[in-house]
This record gives sequence, structure tokens and C-alpha cells, in this order.
Amino acid sequence: MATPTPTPTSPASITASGGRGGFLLARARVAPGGRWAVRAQPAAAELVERSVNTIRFLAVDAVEKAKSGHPGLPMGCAPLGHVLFDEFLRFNPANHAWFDRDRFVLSAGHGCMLHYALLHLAGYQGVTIDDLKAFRQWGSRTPGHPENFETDGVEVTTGPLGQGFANAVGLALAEKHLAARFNKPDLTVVDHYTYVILGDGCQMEGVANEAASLAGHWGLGKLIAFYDDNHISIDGSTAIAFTEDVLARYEALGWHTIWVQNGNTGYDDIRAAIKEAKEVKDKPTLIKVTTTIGYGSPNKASTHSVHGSALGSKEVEATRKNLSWAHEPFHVPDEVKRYSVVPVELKLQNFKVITNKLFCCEEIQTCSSSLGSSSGCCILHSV
Amino acid sequence: MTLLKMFGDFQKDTPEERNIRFGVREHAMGAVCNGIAVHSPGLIPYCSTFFVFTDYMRAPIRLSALSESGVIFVMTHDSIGLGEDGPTHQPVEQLFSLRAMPGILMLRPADGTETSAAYRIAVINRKRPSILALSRQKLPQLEGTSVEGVAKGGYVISDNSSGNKPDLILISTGSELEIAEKAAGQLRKEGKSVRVVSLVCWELFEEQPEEYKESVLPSEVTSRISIEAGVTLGWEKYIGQKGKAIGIDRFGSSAPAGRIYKELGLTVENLIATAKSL
Repeated sequence: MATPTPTPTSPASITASGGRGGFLLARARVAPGGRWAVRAQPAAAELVERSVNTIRFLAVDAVEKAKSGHPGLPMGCAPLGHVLFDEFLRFNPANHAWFDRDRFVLSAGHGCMLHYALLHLAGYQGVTIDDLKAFRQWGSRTPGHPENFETDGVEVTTGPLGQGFANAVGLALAEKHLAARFNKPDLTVVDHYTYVILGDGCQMEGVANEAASLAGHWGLGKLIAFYDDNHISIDGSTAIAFTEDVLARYEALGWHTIWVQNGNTGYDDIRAAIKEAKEVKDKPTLIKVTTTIGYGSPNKASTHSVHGSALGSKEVEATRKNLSWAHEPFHVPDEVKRYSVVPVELKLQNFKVITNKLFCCEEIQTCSSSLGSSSGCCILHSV
Repeated sequence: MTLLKMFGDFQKDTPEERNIRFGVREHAMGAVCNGIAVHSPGLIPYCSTFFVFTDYMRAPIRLSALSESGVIFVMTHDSIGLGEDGPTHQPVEQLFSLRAMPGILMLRPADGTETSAAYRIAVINRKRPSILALSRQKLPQLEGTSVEGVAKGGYVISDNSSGNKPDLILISTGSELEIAEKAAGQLRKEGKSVRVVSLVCWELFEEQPEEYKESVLPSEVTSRISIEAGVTLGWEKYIGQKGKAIGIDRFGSSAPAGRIYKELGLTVENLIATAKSL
């Protein structure tokens, strides 16, 4: 049986010999160890709450140790971040460059402790607990704003507000383009979503409006943006300089819009919003998620000071009391640890697996006999 | 025009096409290209606008350099040579300011050979973004330009000296290289030994071994003149204490290009006069 030669840098060389007798057949797109529509059910409410607080306190503790950073967004967006990473995002912690992974961008890059905490809990080797402890230190893999060349799992370098959002538009454009070029009726090789979190600061920057305008014009239906509506920016309250109707603006730009009014505890609302967004195929979606910046901090939540400074040891203590988190810094409860990193075997059980090699001679297996089985067929190379 | 002729426009219903129309959104263009570049190793985006509007795109250019996304920026209308549109559109300080930015290649090719060489460098460098500054005005093919030379960032395009000791070295880039060549021609007729150097890309030149750089710009030779349609700031590096830089340390003007060149002294006559004053 002829084996096509692999050309890792040009997907144009894909020749789908397709069909029943062929040996290249894509069924479900998931890398072994990768996340597919991850969980049949979300975790029990208590475990969700514990996971969310784990995220919050990893952020609080890392910023506190560094005496530098932005705790507010991670504390406020932990629920959104958890639901997204745990229940929706498709990725492979063991292969951060898996080609068909969903892309996630934190455009509000200063909130990167949120992203680092999520990567850590998901099992990315590039963000260990020691990396979290080295937040914002010389030579660490957890710089103060996310750097794609430094940390596996970070797609783009963000920090200057609005840039990440526009990058996300580019990522979604690339997906739409590659899908159009390479997907065939019986062979889907490109099919992923692009998710981005942006805040008031990003929304104010003109580049974000430029990019939103383009995304609407291009009908990037697999771009889903979360607008962290917490009414605070580096300037202070948004009442000072930013009082426009953002959702109306995005609708005018051709986006589908959803408002999750309770982003702090409305987990089902967040889930429903993401599901709805994924179903809208011809327009990008903006989900406005109203949150409390610095959620859980009894004295500093909703204030400007929690945006960009460490809480201070007194307030860290008060926040622990407030959220009943009687753990030492950087503690990850065992059940959260076990739950976050979903075992490989679980996924292999339920899906026809596509592994990460493209038409590589040694790896090709004949699929004609395995159509009904759960053993692997060939796939898409990740360079 | 910088569109890919064999492809149509990427639009909502034709996403398989490859020409992306950004309208008048330079900032988003740069940032969207960064996203495309990091999506997959096989995607190489290039974008294009007027060189002066790199000012609108500076943040994504900087992030392209920092994040190693290797986007190619094809920037036309790169100087007073664009003429009547005037100073709001005529870059003056952009070359220097982008040379100052770490992690990018700032290339200013002089003719067709150098432009294709610059493009090749841009495509090969996947981690460093490249900016190509191209003229609006048509430029003649010059003798002595080469792809190998451009790859070294700076090289000799003509020289009637011997023993690596010309009387005078003229250094230029892009549209002014032709002026340097013409001036050299005249000075040679008067018996001088003159070397003309094309310094297309400062970053690549600096990466060359010392012996090579010495063979192009021997430290012994202090009579050097640079000529470029941009600020003179930065040229001290290559002309030294005893050299002179001909450039534009002011904003341009709205007038036919030839007139502006004349008024601002970027002419063969002025270059020759400067050479004689050294």
C-alpha cells in the first residue's frame, strides 16, 4: 500500500485517499491525551467551587509573593476561566502545539495569573507550581504579561491592550481559511474555536474596534470573545471615561451578543452562553460577563486598587477567611488536582482517536478494519 | 500592487482565498497578521501599506519582533520621493526608529535585484519580522547589486580602488543608491578612487564577521559620506567622526518629487560638493 511522504510544513500536500477502503479517515479530532468536548457532565457544584477558588488563590498568592501583579481579573474571571478550560476548551497539555487545538487568548494580558493557573491545573509541564511561585521573577516562565515564546500554552504575547483581541481575530481567520482549503466532505482536519478574554481597557483601545469590525465583516463564526465587564480599568471606574453600550456597538459591527449578568456565581449561565455562541456559525460572538473585580476580597473587591497591586498580607488573610480557604499559599487540593487533569485512558475509551502524525510512513495504520473500533487512525501532523 | 495575482479576496463567503482586505485599519492589520503567523508554522503573512503608516502599526510590529512571529511588512511610498502628498505622508524618521527596534530586519532595497533579495530574506527569517521600505517612484536597475550582497546586509556595489583603501566611500540605501552611483562615476572621471556601498539592512550587516565588515568599510578610510532620504541620526555609526551624512532632518514638502530632492540637497551635485569638502 502506497504511503505518502510526509511534508511537515505544507499541509497542501494532504491527499485524502478517503473512503472506506482507505487508510486515512478522520472520525473524531482529538489527540490521545487531548480534550474533546471534555466532560459528559460538569463537576459537582462543590468541586467546581473548590477549583475556582484554587485558581483565585494561586493568583492571589503568586501576586502576593512577587509583591507585584494584577490579582483583580484572575479573582473575578476564575469562574469563567474554569468553565471554559474544564468544560469546553479542546487542547492537549502534553502537546501544546497540537494543530487542531482550540486557541485561547488572554487579551487582558495583565490578568495572566489566571491563564498560568489554568495551564497549571490542566497539566501543562511548562507551568509547574515552582513556575507559579516564580511569577514575575528574572528568568521565570511566568512573566508579568504572557509571552508566547516563554510559556507553552500561551498563543500570543499580550499586554498592550487590544492587541490580543486582534490577534484572536487573526487566529480565527486562519482557522476559517485553512478549513475552507483543506476540509473535504468526508474528511475534517481543521475544526477548532478561538476564544479570547478582553476587558474594558481592551475595549477602549481603537485597535479592538478595528478588529471587531473586521471579524464581523468576515463572519468569523468560530470566534468567541468574553468581555470581562467589571467596570474598572487602570483609570478607575469606567464611569470616568467609558460609558458606551458595548453590546450595541458589537451588534452594529455584525456580532452576535450575549449578556451573562452574573459572572461570579452563574455557572449555568456561563455554560449556556458558550453553548449558544458555539451554535452561531456565521457571526462572531461577544459574551459580556459581568463580574466583580477582585471577587472574594472583602475590602478591595470592586475597587481600582485590586486591579494592579498585590492585596497585601492583611487582605490576603481576610480573603481566605471570606472564602473559607484555610490553606497555605499555592495549595492545590488533591481532588482538584485529580479532577483537572483528565486521564488519557478515559478519553481513549470513548472516541475513535486521531493521533498527531500526518501521513507519516511509520505511523500509518490501515483503518479499513477499524471503522467500528476505537483504535487509532491517521491524522494531522503537528510540526 | 502587492496583492497575490493568482488568488482572490478572502471574504466571508470565499475564505479559501488569500488576499485579505483590511480597509483603512493599519493597526488591526498588523495585529491580525501576528495572529495568522502564530496559528500554524506553514502560514507566512505579509501586509502592506504606506511606510509612514507604520506609525499606526508600531505596536503590532514591536510585538511581532518580541513574540518572534516573523510577519513581513511591505511598506511602500517610503520617502519624499512620493512627492505631492506632502509631509504628512513622507516618512523621515521611520527608518531610524525601526532600526532602533530590536528583533526586526529593516531593509531598504535599491532596485529589482535587491528587492527580490530582501523578500527572500524576509521569507527565510521566520522568527524575525522584516520591514521592506520600497519607493513609490520607479527606480532603475543598478549594476553591481546582488542577492548575495543583500544577504550580508551591506556590500560593495562598485569600486575602482585597490588594496581596500579607496579615497572615498559613499554609503547609501534604496532610492538614493542611484545618486551615489552617479556621483561616484563623476568623481572617478576626475581621478578619485571611490567605493559605493549599499547598506540595505543594518542588522544583517552587524551580524557579519569583523573581517567582512572591514572589507566593506575599512577603518583606515575616514572619508565617508552617507546619503539617504531620511534623518541623519544613526548614520554616525557608519560614517565616523570625519564623515558627512546627507539626509533630511526636517519634515518634507508637498511638491513634485524631483523638486523636493533638489530643494533638500539630495542630489548628485550636492554629494560631489560634499565629497570635495571632506
